[in-house]
Amino acid sequence: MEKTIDWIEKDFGKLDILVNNAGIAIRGHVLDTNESDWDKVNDINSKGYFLGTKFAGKLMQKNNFGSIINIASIYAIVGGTLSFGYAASKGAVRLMSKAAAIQLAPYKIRVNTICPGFAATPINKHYRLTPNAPEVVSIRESIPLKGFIPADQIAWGVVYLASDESEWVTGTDLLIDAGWIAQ
Amino acid sequence: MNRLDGKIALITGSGAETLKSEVLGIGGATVIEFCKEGATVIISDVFDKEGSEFASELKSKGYDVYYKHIDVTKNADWDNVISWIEKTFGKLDILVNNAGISMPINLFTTTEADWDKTNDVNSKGCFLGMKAASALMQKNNSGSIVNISSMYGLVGSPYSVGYHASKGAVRLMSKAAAIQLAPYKIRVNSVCPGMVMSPMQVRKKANISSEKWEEFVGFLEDSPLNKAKKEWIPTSQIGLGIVYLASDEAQWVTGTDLVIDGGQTAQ
Ligand SMILES: NC(=O)c1ccc[n+]([C@@H]2O[C@H](COP(=O)([O-])OP(=O)(O)OC[C@H]3O[C@@H](n4cnc5c(N)ncnc54)[C@H](O)[C@@H]3O)[C@@H](O)[C@H]2O)c1
Repeated sequence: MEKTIDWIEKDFGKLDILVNNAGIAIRGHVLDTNESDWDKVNDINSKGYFLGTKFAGKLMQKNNFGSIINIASIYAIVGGTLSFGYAASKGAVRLMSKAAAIQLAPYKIRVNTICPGFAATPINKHYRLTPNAPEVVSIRESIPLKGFIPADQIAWGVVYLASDESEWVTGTDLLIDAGWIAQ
Repeated sequence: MNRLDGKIALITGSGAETLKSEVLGIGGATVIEFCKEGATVIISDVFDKEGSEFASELKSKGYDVYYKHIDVTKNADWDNVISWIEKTFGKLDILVNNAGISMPINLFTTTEADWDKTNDVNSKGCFLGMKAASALMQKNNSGSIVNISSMYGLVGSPYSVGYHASKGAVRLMSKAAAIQLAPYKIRVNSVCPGMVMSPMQVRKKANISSEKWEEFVGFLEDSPLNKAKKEWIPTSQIGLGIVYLASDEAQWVTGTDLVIDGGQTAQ
């Protein structure tokens, strides 16, 4: 991270937008989650976002401007049956974003999260490959808009939060979840 | 430039000011952002003279806008305008329930009449609007409803319990409507603005003592971004958030709150 930020500074002299998107999903009940799974998911999903926010924030600070978008999840807001370490890591992302929003506001750096619902991305390729599997059907039926969210719709939310159209939006969560959390 | 091309949009509480006014309300500013994105906009308010003038100003700039009288607390006004929209355009794509009132009074000083008035406009008005509009949207199996709540629909403040109650009601009725209208692909979301410089604040300044106003402006310090920028949030920024929720860019966003408050409620 530090290396890349150094390179961005040398080549462009500034950084306006960081999207912390890299993440993994390890499924597992609390009783089956072993320590190495926990460490791995929290290292990438939570510590990875911390490092990104820190080093990007340092460069953005020099310009007194910036927008950081952290991809969290609906499992940053409520619990689910199948993931434990993942939920912890995404909950961490949501709250570290709010803390960073407060701490970086003096430098006019905004920090927000996007909480996607069930999205049809490669991490969930079974939604596409086995649309009639009982598990996939039951997830789809639980979603008010009855479908899986295409990745480009998440990207539009990122564009909104990155652009100057959201100059006053900071420390909040944009849910793109087809109404799942509202029920 | 064309994110709302071909969409028919109705915005309440959007006609009390004209382009000549010192500052546009959130409704008026939203009308302008919608026009820029190519929507056909029906401006509505209870100030018919100003509303009609605002509409002709925008028409002369080449935008497709109309003015209609809607007192949001009157079912008959809703019925009239929604049937006019159906006759004229055959559909309604977007409703923005923006009309709202606030009073600088607290729990002790709020009378029953104050409570009723605030909840009638802010909460019941929103219900009547959603009901009337969704009946038309349902026929088309598509629509986006954006209800203006407030950060005071999320947290408390020293002022107006009636306002807090009404804005909390807007947030939760939006979620219920989102679930109930999802089968018809009608999305419902709310926007929670923070400290916005609108005519609502200009009037507040005129109506309260200068001490009280100073105390109120002091709240800007509570919001991380307002403090850093030493500014109020401009109404156009709320309009741009509404554009996002109304557009097809937010096709999978429903039942949620877009908080535009400079970080005030993140702390
Ligand atoms: N300004 C802020 O800081 C702020 C913050 C959070 C939420 N809001 C909300 O934003 C919305 C717009 O407020 P604003 O700040 O632009 O204030 P505003 O006073 O300029 O706008 C309110 C509009 O509603 C109209 N209205 C009032 N009663 C009506 C009725 N019975 N029928 C139809 N129209 C009616 C008014 O004529 C006016 O055009 C309101 O719902 C308000 O509660 C404002």
